[in-house]
Amino acid sequence: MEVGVVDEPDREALTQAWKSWMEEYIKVSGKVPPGNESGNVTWTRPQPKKKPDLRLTPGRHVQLTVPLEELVDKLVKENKVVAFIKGSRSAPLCGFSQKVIGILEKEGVDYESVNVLDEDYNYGLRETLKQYSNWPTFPQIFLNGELVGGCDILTSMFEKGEVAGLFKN
Amino acid sequence: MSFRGTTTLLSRATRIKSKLQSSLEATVLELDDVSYQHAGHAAMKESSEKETHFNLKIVSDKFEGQSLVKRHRMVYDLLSDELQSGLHALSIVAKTPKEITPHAK
Repeated sequence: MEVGVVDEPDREALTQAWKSWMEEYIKVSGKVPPGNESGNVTWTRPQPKKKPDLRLTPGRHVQLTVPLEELVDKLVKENKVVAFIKGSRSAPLCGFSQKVIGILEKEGVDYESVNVLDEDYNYGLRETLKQYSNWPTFPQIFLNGELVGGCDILTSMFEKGEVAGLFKN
Repeated sequence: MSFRGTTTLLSRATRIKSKLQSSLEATVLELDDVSYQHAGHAAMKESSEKETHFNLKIVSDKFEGQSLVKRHRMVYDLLSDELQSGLHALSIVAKTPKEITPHAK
């Protein structure tokens, strides 16, 4: 560990000292000194673990015995709130899906999420869902087995303060 | 010369506007192309498609008594051709003329 003394330690002088020390170290060793790189998560508050996304099938290698549409129907009827999104709930891949997750999380709704872009476990889901819901886009939010709508509709409900009352028990 | 060829000379925005205007007799119809906002999406990165994402604001008497889902479905049904040929997303604000009139205070 390096220890250095800085006379008249104001912010600028300290920053300069740190910079020159870093440059020296990099020159000598070719690397950034440990602990000085960004992206260190040791001291960040860990995100509460999110529920895993639901998968419709065990994988593409397994032959389905019932049509995918039936599996969708079963899923939305057995779970009170289901959000079909692009990406996972911990890493949504589209702005609309992200917004929907944000609203559901903010209101503390207990919901299931399904990643429609998952080609391994949800292969063919996008096309099947578009037919099933008669709705051409994602995300799609289902409540008690019925389509509530997409991002616009959920946002409008959220702004009117209707989400908690409708989606929570 | 095919008629199909003639329609594709019009932009998607124009086609959407005219379809919605004629079927829903909209009193207000605002359509903004926001495809550029989604160009970085996972699903859009590889594509050079244009006119893929729009914001629509539409006011029509025909929405009277319809839930939001039904209103959006009406719009989507009218645009099913577009949705199957490269229109990826449509943000819809669908109101009735009554709903946009500011309340007299």
